[in-house]
Amino acid sequence: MFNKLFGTIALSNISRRKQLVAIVSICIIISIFLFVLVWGTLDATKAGLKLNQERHGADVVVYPLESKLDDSGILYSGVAQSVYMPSSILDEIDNEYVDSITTQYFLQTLPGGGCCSTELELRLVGIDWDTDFLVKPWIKDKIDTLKDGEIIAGCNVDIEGLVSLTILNYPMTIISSLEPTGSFLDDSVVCNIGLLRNLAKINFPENPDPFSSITCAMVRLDKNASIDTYLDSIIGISANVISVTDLQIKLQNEIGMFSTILTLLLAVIMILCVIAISSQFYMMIHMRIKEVGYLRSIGMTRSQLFRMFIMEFGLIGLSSGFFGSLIGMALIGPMINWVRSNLTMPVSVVDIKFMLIHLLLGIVITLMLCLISTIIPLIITNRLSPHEMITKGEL
Amino acid sequence: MVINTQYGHIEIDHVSKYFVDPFGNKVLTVNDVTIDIKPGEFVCLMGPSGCGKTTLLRTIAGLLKADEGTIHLDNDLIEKPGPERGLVFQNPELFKWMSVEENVAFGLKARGVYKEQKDDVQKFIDLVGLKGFEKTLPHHLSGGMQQRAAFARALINRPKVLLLDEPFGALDAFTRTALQNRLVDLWKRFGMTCVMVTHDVEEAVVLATKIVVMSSRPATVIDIVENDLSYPRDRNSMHAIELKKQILEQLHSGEFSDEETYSDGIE
Repeated sequence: MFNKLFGTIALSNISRRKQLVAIVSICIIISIFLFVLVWGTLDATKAGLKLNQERHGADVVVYPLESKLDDSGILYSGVAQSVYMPSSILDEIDNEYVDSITTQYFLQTLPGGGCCSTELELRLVGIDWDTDFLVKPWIKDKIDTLKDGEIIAGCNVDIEGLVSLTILNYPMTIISSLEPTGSFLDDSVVCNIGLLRNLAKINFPENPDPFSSITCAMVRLDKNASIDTYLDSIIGISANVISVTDLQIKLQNEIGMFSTILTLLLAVIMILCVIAISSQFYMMIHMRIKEVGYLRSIGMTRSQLFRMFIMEFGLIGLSSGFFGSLIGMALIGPMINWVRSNLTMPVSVVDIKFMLIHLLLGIVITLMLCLISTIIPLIITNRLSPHEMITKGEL
Repeated sequence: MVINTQYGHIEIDHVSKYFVDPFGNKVLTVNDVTIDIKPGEFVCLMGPSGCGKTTLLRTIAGLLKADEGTIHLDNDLIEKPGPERGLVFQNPELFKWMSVEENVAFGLKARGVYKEQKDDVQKFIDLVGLKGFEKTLPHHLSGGMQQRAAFARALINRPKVLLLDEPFGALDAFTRTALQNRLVDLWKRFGMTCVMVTHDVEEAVVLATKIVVMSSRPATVIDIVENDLSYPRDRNSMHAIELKKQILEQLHSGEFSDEETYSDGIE
């Protein structure tokens, strides 16, 4: 008995108490939106850091003294700088602890248009293909070499439908693209360092001699070498030096701390949400105590009553949670971009799978919230006998 | 007249019921009541206000559980509410947001038989004289009309037993008389056992085939009076008046003791 009526009763009760339902819905939407946004951003940041740790081939990065960015900016920032150091620095940093060194030459962020066949903003980075271990792990396609006239585009560079580009009046063929790195490479176009130096010589004669300049050097140490020992061995060189591992650990700790604080904050928000929803649910039940008593008097059991209310509150929660998750998801992208730009942290790119996971997570959290919020009001109500219910409240 | 001898046999066997007052004291409300209600009988539970007759009725309904004794319906122990026992309260308790039609159909939908029996909805609405008011919401109906809708809602489930808790208590005399007659018609038509609580002696005489006279709290059975007046009953006939007198005397004999009346010193 009653099994076919639950949905009808639940829907009619929701439509009859629009004000209360609206209050509950707003509480849930705000809580879940915050949860999805914050948790999603944290997840993206942690994923970005993890990916970076796995694939950032360098142990140490050496870059010019004149660079205005801090260490994490050099590693993770989307801002590139036309600041150079002499190639001779390589002699100072190469010693018995080093396994390999690769260099990069950053030319310019070209605004597009006049110099190039595209309106795209292009950040040009030249790499030494033979020694490179920084870019190669991120290339989508299998490539044996990077010839003059060939470019690899970062994941954020929009090359949809393009096969070739003219850059600084030089024709370039797009041979592949990079997976999301969470670093400046995402916004860059990578080509052969020799070609880029030639182009720099022709188009930017005011720059220091490109053939004897580099933007940075990435050092990979021997497996048995200690980073601290190596750093001690190159003290005094005329360049900035950062330990990638140390920086990643530092960032990991910072992210961990942020994560803990935000998680606690989220927990407090959820608890407040449960209290708020719980009291609203209690009111919604209490206002119908006589109706409930009548239903009990015609044979509805306690468990059926429980199911009816679960369905009712579940409907409210599910729709609100879904909506809150959607809003959270819509804002994750802008939030991640903000984190990347302003906090110089690595973040992974948000794809459909990521979105769906967090949408589902938001819905699951909503259902849990509603279930917890329902328990106490129902326990209180269930303690009343049908006789007591009928003599209380209004129908 | 439909005579039902098949179903609706209620056996109330040494039933007692306690309540706990706000001070934690156990208060005996119904004391060792034994009544045998035959199938198809119309029984009125009569007694002074607050004696425990409603408590007894609700125990039969399954809304309360007897602390001592048992109640059986057709040999099945009553422990909880069920659709075979229809309930009509003093206040109609219709769902305010549902029309008459929807209120009456509620029981069918609850049992999942609406599709098969939906023609019954209109039949029962017509039966209680509410034809033309199918789509009307309860607050647009008079008290009497709402009570008729409540009857239809209870009866559509074709209960074995119809339990009525002072169903006409809130109505004016004229409406009450009209509904009493309608109730008798319905009872004769469907033949279910009726148990009704009332403190109106005349009402009991006009409606019941058996009148259980109960004492003041804790309720005990003073007498069970058989009423074999034929229907329709003239409430002003000699027999009816004599029966009323008999019942009133019994009620007075079982009313407040001197100690209770004068316990506060008022004479």
